Amino acid sequence: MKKLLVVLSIVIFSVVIFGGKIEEIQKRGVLLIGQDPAYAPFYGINENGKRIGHDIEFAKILAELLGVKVKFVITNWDGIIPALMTNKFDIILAAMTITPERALKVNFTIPYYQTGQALMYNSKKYPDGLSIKKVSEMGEKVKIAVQLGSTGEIAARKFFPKAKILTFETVDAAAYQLITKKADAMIFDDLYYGNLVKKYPLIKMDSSLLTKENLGIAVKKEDIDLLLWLNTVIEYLKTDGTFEQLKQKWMIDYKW
Amino acid sequence: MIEIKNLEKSFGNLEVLKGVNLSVTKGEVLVIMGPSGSGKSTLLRCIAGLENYQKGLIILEEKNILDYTRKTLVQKIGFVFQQHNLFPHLKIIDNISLGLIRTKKIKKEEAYKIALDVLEKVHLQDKAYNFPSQLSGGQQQRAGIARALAMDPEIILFDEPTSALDPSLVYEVKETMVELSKMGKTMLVVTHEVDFAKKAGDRIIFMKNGKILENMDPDTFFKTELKYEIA
Amino acid sequence: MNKLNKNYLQKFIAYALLILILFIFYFEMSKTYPFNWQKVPFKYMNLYLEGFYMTLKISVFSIFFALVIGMVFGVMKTSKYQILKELANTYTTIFRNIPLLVIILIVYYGIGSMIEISAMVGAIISLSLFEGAYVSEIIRGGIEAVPKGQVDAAKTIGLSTFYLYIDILLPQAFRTTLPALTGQFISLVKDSSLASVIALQELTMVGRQIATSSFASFESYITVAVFYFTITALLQLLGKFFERRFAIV
Repeated sequence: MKKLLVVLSIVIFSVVIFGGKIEEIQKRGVLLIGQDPAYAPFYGINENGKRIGHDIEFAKILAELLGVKVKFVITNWDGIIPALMTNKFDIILAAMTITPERALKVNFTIPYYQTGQALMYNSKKYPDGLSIKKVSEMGEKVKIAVQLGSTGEIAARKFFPKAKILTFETVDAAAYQLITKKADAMIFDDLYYGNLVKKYPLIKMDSSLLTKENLGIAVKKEDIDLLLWLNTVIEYLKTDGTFEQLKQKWMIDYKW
Repeated sequence: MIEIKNLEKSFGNLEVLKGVNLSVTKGEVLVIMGPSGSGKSTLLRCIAGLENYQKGLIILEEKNILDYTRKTLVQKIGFVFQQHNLFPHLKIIDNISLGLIRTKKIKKEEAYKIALDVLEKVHLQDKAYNFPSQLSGGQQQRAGIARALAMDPEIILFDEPTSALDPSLVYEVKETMVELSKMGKTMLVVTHEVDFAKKAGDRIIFMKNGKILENMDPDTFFKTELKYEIA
Repeated sequence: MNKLNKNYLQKFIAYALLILILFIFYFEMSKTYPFNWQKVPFKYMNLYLEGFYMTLKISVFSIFFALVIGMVFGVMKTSKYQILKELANTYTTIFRNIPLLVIILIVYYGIGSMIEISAMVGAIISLSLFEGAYVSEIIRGGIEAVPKGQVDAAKTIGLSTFYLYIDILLPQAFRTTLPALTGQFISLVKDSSLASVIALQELTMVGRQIATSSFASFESYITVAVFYFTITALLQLLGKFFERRFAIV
């Protein structure tokens, strides 16, 4: 009860001081969303350059609920949080992993997607399969392909400190290292697996995840009204099956 | 017309002119001879305003040449170089008309007319629209003379105009200069061409080590020539 | 066989050899990598063309401004006034000693925080300033290489300093430095790919975006390489053409 009172007073306080963020967006008629150029299958571009993907469709649902249009503001990943803090856009909806460090600068909604870092390997090179335990045992002899600056890289360095880490710009380029046997394993979001296996049928994924990650929407610290509203919407979309549909459509069915 | 009084010039510690006194009258063709390093070219360059000097006076028509602006000076004094120094990126006619257009502010068509006239005087009108590199050495040097003539100066200075040329090409340039001397221009010519000196020179000065040693008419000079190494 | 024919034959063999090497390389890679050219680049061709156009646009503008900047500072470096010389030299020192990537970040986020500038304008400003420093050195060298006799000759027909530069020094410097300038501008086109760091939708950015979205990285990178090669090869031809056109025979 006490907590609720505190939250409530913060909300009222911030609305009085800053004015409602939702009201501001609705007045403007456009919801501005920060994203980096591409991170398929969450967001990427189709042949016509239109932005598509899981988070794009989610963003459109949000805009529709607010009764406004949606506009994507593209920044590089390095600068995306500073850009939010300097009002370049209203929210970051870009498959962002919720971390305590980031939460010092921005507020996160409750998770809208749970993903995990998975171990993938070439089934021809390792016909008996490869597991987290086996890779640890290989020590410094193992080479692991990851995406530069991804949570997969962080996980790889944490779980396999002795291993040689090879970094690549795209999941595709990393996967090719498995095919040519230059890398023994790769550590990436498990959700890539569906698309990867279509291109490289030899690739298999170990079923146990190294880490689990929650993805949330980042909101500016003072936009409490927006944060509370987004939490409500996420909760609602989880129960009405929308997120399940989105997952099926973009992570499994869609041919990227 | 030109009065030089006690001219001294040095490059650093090297004294090149050690008190030169000279006067030139209007219409005179003065030939300057002497071994290399004697200061002949430097004297000429000082008169043209291409070099500074430390001491002395150069007076042109009762006025110190330092008091002339570049614009007015070039209309009194023209200069012909040892290496023709034509502008390689411009056609002959543009080489010649550039000074007219930029300095005398003459319109282009008018300047072209003048340029063609001047080229006729040096027998090069058919090369007007060629680039310097398409001309022979002798033709280039004549074009250089034409460029100086076009500004219509009262005095033309020649700095060894034939010494960079192939011997077979010297003749045509020399002839052009002889023709000019007959037109009554005041000319100061640094040269080793005895031939020219005899034919066209009104007076010869002989320089050595930055001083004028002799100053006389050609006939007298060449009678006593054995005293000196001319070149 | 005469000499000309022999030269052509050798040229032909060289090209044939290169193409063979490329072909072997491609063949070997395609054993393991499932190339899918129908998808990338052809399905995405419009996007590549847009990126290509943007790269072309920032390159052309930057070449123009780099030339202007280079000319002004190059001339200042040959001035007899020490203050102009120092100003120009300081400019060159600063911009030649900072990586272009850092200049782009400083210009876009630094200047961008004072006045609103688009990523395109930011890229053009950065590229012009950076390459302009190099161009100014080239131009200075070109001016200093003009024989002293040319300046003497210009003086004897009364040219002012302004016309000395306009009519004599710059045209000659331009001719002698054309090969170096062409090389610099080819660098500029390639350097423009760094503008992707401020999310400008130029060729490299588009290529990376499609690589991530299509799961076809190599096809995308190769496509981008071909586009860059097209621009720089054209520039090289243009340079050769101007060299011949303005040659001082």
